[in-house]
Amino acid sequence: MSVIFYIGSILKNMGLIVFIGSSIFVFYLAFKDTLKRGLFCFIPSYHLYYSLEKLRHPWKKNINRVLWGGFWAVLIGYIFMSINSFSGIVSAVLNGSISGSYFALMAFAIILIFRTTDLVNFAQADMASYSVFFVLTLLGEHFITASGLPETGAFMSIGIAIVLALLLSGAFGIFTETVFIKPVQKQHPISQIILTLGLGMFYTNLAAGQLYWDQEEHRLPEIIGGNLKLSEGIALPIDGILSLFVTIVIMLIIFALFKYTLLGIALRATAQSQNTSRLMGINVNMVFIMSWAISVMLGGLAGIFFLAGKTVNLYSTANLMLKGFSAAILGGFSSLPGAVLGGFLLGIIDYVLGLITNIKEVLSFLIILVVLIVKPEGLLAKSKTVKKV
Amino acid sequence: MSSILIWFWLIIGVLIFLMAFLKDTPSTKKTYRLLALLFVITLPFTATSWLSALNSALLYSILAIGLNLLLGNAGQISLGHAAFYALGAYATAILSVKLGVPVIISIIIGAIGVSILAFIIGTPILRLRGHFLGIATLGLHIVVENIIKNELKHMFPGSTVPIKYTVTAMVDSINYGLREKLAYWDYLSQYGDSKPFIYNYLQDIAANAPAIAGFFLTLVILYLIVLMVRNLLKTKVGRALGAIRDSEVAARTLGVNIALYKNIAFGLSAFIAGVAGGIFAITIGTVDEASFMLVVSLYVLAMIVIGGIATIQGSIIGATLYQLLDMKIIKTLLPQKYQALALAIMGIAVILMIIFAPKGIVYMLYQLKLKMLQKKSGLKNK
Repeated sequence: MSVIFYIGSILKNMGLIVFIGSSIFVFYLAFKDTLKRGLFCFIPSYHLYYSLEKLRHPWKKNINRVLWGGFWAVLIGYIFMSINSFSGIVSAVLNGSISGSYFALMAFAIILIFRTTDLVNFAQADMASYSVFFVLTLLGEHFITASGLPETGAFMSIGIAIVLALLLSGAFGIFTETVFIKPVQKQHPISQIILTLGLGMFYTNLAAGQLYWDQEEHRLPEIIGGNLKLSEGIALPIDGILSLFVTIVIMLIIFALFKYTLLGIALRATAQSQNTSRLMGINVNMVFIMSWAISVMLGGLAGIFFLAGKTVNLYSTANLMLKGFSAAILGGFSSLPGAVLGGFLLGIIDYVLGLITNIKEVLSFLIILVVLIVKPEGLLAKSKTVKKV
Repeated sequence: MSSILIWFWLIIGVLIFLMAFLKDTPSTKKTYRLLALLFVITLPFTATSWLSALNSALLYSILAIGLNLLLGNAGQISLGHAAFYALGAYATAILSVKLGVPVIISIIIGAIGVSILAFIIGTPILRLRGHFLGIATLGLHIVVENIIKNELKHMFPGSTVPIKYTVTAMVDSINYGLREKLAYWDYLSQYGDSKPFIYNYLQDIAANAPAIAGFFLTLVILYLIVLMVRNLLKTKVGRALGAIRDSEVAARTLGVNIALYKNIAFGLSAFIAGVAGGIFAITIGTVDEASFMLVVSLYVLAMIVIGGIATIQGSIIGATLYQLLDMKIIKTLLPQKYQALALAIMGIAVILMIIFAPKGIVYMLYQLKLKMLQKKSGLKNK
């Protein structure tokens, strides 16, 4: 414990010196610079961003690396200093990677659709909650319905229910694609965003309208249940470990699918250029349908894992979708491995920040903002050139 | 007024507005505009049971104009506009209740503060494009929501603005006279005098006086903001924003300072949202985080798409239609058993609108007008 504390304090103090020194240097440069935006530097912490501008002094242009290096050193040092025990950080990292697996699945679902159809699906949360409610229905949960839907009895175990629910949600994704998304494929991106928002509103409120489901809270049973105690102070939920395992397996399967099967090659080709792949004889409509089906299934799986053993209602997946978006952004919105990396990173960041503050939501979004500002393409995406006029 | 009469009255109003739009010839222009003005002024006194829906329609019109300036005219998406709305409302409430600043001044100070904040935040954020900007603004909303939960809620506990600072206090003197007269008639009726025939009507008005005052206040501010945005779009700023929306590279080569103008659009948009928030605080009278959820900004986006992107009329039409449908029309048409489906119907309406009329209602109206003109002049192309 003491070693971590000393390393942390050394990092923090060194970082502070470097940070303040280079900050003063950047202030000086900004003051001398005739760029109009240089004056913004005197707004607190704006110089972090200003240092990324192309400064007019050629030999000083690497100052941003020193400045940001100091910044991260202070941050990491501060985190190290406020860790109480070694097992705390190990537990945080393990739990973080478990919750990261939910985010990674969600981010994967979002990016899969974005890559193939150029559309960000804001209805992903609502579709995931449909998957969760499919499971509940198959397990025979009682809903208050105005239309007097007959009660189903519990006749299957949760494993079979989850598999059936995922198949149902795949069909649901195909239905959504053919009915609602196909007519608007040629339209402006903003219209498409609003369409998916409207879609989410429609699905959730149709379910909340007590036609077949309701907006009360229900309890989703645990998949296996129980905790796995590794050592003193480190305990992991078994459902979480299952989720981590399943996520990794699914990712491997999907990467193999992308690399070696015809469908995967068609998906990748469509992601690159729809027109060319159409000319090459790829059935683009089929690719769209497949990607929607896979994406809705993955999103649903993320929702089920995320909510297993908790009380759920129709709105409890919204937070998961936001996290999925952040993970997708963190990894670069166009790269599938990036989504996985972003998801796990986000989960770990969340848990580690949870050790030291109680406003981790704000801080994790601030970190994403900072990543976006420093590297707008995300961590793993290839940088793109600006489109020509 | 009974509810069927109100429906007739509203249909007449829609017809007046349609005619004012379609028959825009010099001879009939003034008549129809005068009729439309008369309709709007008499509306709160006639449709008293619709007042809450009408007030929120006006409020959302202001918000939609602000977001439309950013989305339609400058081409930058924002999914977290409710953050500025919330900050404007809290700034007004805290400034007027805690610090004793006069209400109108605190609205202006709050809105200016919000726009300065947006200007500062916008400088780094607006480097992003498209979906990335959308997610970054979403993050902004989450940060603001947490600030409200952790900080502002403690600075402004109870979440109720005292009546002294709301619009109720502004109409108190007029309303007091009315109530006194009503009480006098009440007193006389005890001794056998019959009540005058407008007694019930006046009672209704007296009960709804704060909402009516709120209606006119919001209407005046909406008019001012429409004037501001319309004139702004005719100047250098408006042209620069249009150039940035159409092509950033081309705009930069023509010497437009892209970062500055994007920031200006963001700041102005936040200013308008802040004003809307301030009006919300003094007309509704409660300020809590439930009124500024993420869905608010999504609703505003839907309104813009329904009405028409990049037009002021579109924002107003979209917001009015959306709020009236959401709060009143669908609820009266649906049977009692299925009231909860109102939002689902709104969702399907948005979807159908985008599939079949992606440019919004305003463009449909313009096409109608064009067809009518062609028919009249015999220039119909086949």
